[in-house]
Amino acid sequence: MKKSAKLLALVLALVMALSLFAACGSTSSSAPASTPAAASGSGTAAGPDISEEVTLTMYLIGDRPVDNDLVFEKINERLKEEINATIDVKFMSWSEYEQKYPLIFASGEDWDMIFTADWCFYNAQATKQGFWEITPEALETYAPMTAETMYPEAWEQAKVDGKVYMLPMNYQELTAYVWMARGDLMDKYGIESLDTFDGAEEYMQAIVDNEPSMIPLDVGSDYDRQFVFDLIWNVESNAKGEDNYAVLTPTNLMTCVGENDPEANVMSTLDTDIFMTTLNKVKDWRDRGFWSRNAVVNTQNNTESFQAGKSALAVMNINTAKSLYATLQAEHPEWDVRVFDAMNGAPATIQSYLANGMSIFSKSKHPERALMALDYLRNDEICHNLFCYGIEGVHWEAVGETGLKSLPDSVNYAYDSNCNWGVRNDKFWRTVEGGIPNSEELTETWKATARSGRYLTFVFDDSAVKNEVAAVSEIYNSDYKLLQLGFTDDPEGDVAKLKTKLEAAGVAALQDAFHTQALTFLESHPVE
Amino acid sequence: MKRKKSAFLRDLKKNRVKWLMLLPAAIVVILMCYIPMGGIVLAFKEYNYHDGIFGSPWVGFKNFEYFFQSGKAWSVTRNTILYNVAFLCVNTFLQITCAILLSELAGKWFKRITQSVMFFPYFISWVVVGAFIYNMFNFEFGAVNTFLRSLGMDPVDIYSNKAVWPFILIGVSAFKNVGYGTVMYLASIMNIDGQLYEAADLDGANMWQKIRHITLPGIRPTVVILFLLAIGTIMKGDFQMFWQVTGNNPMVLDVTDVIDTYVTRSLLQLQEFGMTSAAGLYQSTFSFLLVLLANKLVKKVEPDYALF
Repeated sequence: MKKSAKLLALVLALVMALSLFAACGSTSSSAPASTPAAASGSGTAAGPDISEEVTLTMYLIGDRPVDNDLVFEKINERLKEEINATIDVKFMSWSEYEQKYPLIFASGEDWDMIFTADWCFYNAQATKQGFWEITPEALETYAPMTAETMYPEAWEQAKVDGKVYMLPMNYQELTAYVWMARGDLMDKYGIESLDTFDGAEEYMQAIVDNEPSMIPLDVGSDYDRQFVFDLIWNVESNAKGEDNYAVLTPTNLMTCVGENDPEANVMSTLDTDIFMTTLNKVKDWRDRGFWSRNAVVNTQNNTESFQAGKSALAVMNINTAKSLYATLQAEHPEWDVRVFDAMNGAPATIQSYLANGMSIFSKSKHPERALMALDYLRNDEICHNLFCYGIEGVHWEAVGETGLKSLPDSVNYAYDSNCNWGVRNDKFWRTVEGGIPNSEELTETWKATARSGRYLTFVFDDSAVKNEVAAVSEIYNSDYKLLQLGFTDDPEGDVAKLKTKLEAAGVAALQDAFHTQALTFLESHPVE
Repeated sequence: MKRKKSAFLRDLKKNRVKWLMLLPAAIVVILMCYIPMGGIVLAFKEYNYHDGIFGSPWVGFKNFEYFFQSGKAWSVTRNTILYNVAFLCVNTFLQITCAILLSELAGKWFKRITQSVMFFPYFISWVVVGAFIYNMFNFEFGAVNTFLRSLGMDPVDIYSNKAVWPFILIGVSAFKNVGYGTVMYLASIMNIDGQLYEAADLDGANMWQKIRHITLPGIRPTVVILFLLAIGTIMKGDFQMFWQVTGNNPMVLDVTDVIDTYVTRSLLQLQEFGMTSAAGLYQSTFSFLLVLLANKLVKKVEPDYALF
């Protein structure tokens, strides 16, 4: 009998035990807030009470940079002086964040702030009351600098059921995907450019044929399993001109709608005319061995494989490429790393502000102080620059007003790569000089085509169809994942099977809900 | 009532050392098994972090719908039961065979070393076993395929071949558990009265006859008890094993997904604590019924061996 104690029971035991502690915590936490400004301590009479020194725990995603502690020592010096608080940073790596992120909310662990984004559980945790609500009053009181500088659209986008739980980045971002390839191998096999899919194909084929110890493109992990599929999908969709599709978030429900369809007729991505073309392309690439036959059990993402020299090509967004490029130039100059546009003419997207942001845990003992700390990280040039670029003179040096040069030590704290994206601020933003040589050219191309998707700020309310969402997500994560990586021997048959499964899972009810909400959305967001 | 109570107290006093010995185990069971049972309420609630387990709103049986709607309930239940039955049969058979072989072997040192070597895998973590499997079977650089290629044969793609996974899983389960069970059966063989064997020798029984008529009947109580314990866990997949060894591979999920992995996967992906608790409760209820049933059966056939 004892043996039948289940894992679940254990987790529940932990959750329960810890929630008891957490409950104790939250009652005591209301105390400092309610004591009306003990008046001493802080100099400003009207400012919030900061007499008690606190340590705030901040969760970031990624691996701890070597010099993280040095940088945060400096940030903490500043914060201690200004708001009598210090930050202790914890990391969860890319390979496990999807699992760990939701669990720290339930674990009852004591922490205060976390990175979040529309692609990183913002809606899911906000609707489960995982985040502390940031009211306009709180913003005025505890984050006056943010209140002043926040883009009004960003504030609007962050609303979930009319309430804001996130400070979105103060930064306008273009997202586009690039290939990163090994120049030495390209020269060896006479490949000129990877700007087209044909070029990329030729390069990967050369690797398959001549480099048996390498996998051309090591995708398949949670991070990058849908990258290649999406790239091809976007090109196909773009080729349809006015009739292009917009995939609705959350993307794991596989729902899309004609971007310019006034009726907002939603459908499953499987039912679109471009699905089969896209699938056949990824299938072709997979059959030719461009990625591992075991890609679906990959735990390492393709940039890590590339960096370790195990693969010859990697796909990532331009911002990841910028910092990886700098690192690789320092570590492996002999690779002659080159970066190519992987968009193939599909428009770059102007990211929503929610693509990066910071939130406060609903059970934080010091939510007000956490808000103050975030205010400084975002709007205080010293804190912002330390967090985003590292220590001036050690990791980087300024070039003019808007540029910077990475110094050799930046391998220990790379530019814009410590999950600092949530505090990015246009006001202090600097771009790397001497980074990717064709960076300018790439940006020009994307700027010309960029558009912000019509349904970019569409938020799906799933409360009425939870069971359908659960059943459909399960299908996405098993069967659809296989298709995205081209794992099928009989595309037509597998797609038909998948459609039957989706029907059984109640996809019709789900699409009805999407349709109603999309129509409402169109009404409130008319085309300009 | 009063008399009963004093009887209990008297017993407590009389056997205080035994009660004391029971205490640590009892505490662990209460802490780890009984107290968390309160969490069952989650299955009937729409959980949110703020209100916690007990404060979240009730939703009745709504959480159970998803388990059946996803079309997975039947396939994961079937997998769980079939795998456990297979493990139970294969492992028990191998364990008894090994135990008898070892007991018949002369050579103390050889016996000791064999026993330790067999026991050793029990201590290897499933994560490590999962890594073994991956390094043996991965398509591009795995040991098996490297070997096949060196012989000029075609490589095999294990990770997308559904048919082989049940065998791999049964194999690794045996690899890890046979040694452990062997030691238990060996101990029970050692407990058999040596005089019985001497008497058999005098009667001119050969080795087979001794095994059939003395050893096997001698270890029957152990077999029954271990079998009963195993029945209780027949609805429970060895989570670590299924998760780590298959790498949560969607290609073969149809044949490797058990209730435990399904629950964990949906919890991680959906973060719907209520729904996954519902699936967990379904599993526990069935386990409980099975234990009752098995015990009843044993009671009918062999009243002395029933657990309660």
